[in-house]
Amino acid sequence: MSLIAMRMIIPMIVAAALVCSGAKPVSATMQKTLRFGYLDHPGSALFLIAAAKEYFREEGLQVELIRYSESARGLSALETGVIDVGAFTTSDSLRAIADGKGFRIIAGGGTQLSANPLTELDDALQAETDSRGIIVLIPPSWPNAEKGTIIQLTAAIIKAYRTQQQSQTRDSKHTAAVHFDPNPDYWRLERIWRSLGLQDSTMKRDFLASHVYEEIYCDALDRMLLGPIDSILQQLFSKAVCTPNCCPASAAKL
Amino acid sequence: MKRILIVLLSILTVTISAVHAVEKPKLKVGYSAGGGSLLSFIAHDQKLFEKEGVVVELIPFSSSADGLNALNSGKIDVGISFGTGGPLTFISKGSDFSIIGGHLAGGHPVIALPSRAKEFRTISDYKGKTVATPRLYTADVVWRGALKKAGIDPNKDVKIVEMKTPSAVLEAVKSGKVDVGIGAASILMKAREAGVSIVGWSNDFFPEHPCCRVVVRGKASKENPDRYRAFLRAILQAEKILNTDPDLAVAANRKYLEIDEKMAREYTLEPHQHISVDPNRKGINRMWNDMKAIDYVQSELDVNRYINVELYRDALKELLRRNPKDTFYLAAKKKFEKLN
Repeated sequence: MSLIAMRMIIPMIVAAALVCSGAKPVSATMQKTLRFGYLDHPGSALFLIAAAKEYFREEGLQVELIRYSESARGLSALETGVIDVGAFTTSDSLRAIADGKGFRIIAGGGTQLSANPLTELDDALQAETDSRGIIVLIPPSWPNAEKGTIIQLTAAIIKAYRTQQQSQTRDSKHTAAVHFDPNPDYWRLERIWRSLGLQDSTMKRDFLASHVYEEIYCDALDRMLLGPIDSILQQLFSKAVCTPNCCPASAAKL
Repeated sequence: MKRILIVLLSILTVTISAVHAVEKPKLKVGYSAGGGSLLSFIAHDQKLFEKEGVVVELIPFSSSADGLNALNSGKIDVGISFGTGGPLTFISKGSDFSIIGGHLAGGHPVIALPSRAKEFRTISDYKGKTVATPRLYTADVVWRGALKKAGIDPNKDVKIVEMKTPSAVLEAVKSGKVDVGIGAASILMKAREAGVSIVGWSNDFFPEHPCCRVVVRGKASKENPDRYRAFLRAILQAEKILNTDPDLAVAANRKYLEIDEKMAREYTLEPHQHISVDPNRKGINRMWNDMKAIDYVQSELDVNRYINVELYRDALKELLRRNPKDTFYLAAKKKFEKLN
């Protein structure tokens, strides 16, 4: 898809999502501004929706979106601390991780659907298509103590996904070209990782797994599921593979 | 002369104590701050770890994911109550984990309104019913595995309502929105208080199914097997105490979980919960295959490479050497031969 076509799709997805839902009140304590770098790509629409709909603010986050025209430049900015969070293509992000950059993947974004009807039937073609999608990363320097902030950030992206899905149901012709999924989905990433030949003999077997921070997504989803039953969230929940608990999580729940 | 001797003896005593203090290996043991950790509580309370030559620090975690991540990154040395499915999920993604023992098996109730209680006697009775289940919990894996084994398609023959927590399952059953609920040990008392019937147990779907397993890092257990053998010897003795002096076990659970006497008694002595150190290799294999069958895990790994039953066998052998006629340890040996 050409750059011009891509730039036409993003506003259409975002506009469709915004038209279909009203503004939400903001009620949270603001933290420091998070610099969120994203690739100028249709798969980045969820982050624009989260900003436009003020889902980041709802989650108590002050987010500044910074657009990049190339993943390589964005990943470099993430490495050097120019940005705090990045959303770039899966293939470039995984290659950076394989090179030892230490990024951790916290959420998924959007993937442009392939026009080739064989894609769904061929794992290699599917992995190639998926590798061009968007994933969200944080740098290794992100402090463990701020896990709550990443959960809030991911929750905002899930809210944007819900808005996008609701708008797609109402106006499908604008958004069918991109498949959105906020789930980082380790097994999908692992297929792409293998298809790109990134695992070398010196790496530990769980090298990729240690860079996919799935429990952030699970924690964010868990928190949202405490609210009223929502079919879109239920569908995400049905696909998520989160670490199960054997025993009650706290004595208070006995 | 006498004074010199006293001084020399004192120095010798201090030196020996210091050497002992330095020599005792330490293990940081992570546990779920809810349940499933009773044997380690008893061993800690009764100073069995020290007796076996290992210093244990118990560290609570609020979720299995946090505990297993801490184990993976070396912040703790042992995990005792992070389930079976959790460690297996990590193993499927490449973590160097080794399951060396158990802590809890079975014990998750199936619940329904009293008026529906007689409808659920066998796994076939679930066909055509609306069933609430806490997704990815042990009982959920065990139930779905039993459906598959019985030739019932969970996607077509049963209407499954996936819930986030066992408490949500209880609410769905109470409100009559579902016909039956796959529960968890954590809601047992609440269910009884609410007048909901216990119509079966996860044990019915998979007898002796593993729940909380003792999991360690594979490399560490190969490098320093003695400290893990000592750990297992201590909790095996705790298992014997649970069987011979249940009141002491209740007191330990009460003390470490900070719950009242009634709750501690019901929770500790629930007969469907089988508390045992045996690793149950066969049971873990079945759980692994069930998880693959229902698409919770995608892996071609041989899970046996991640189960080490030798350490438990050695620990049991040593206790039998010390107590050759002890009926508890003799029974444990028989059980080991059956389950592994």
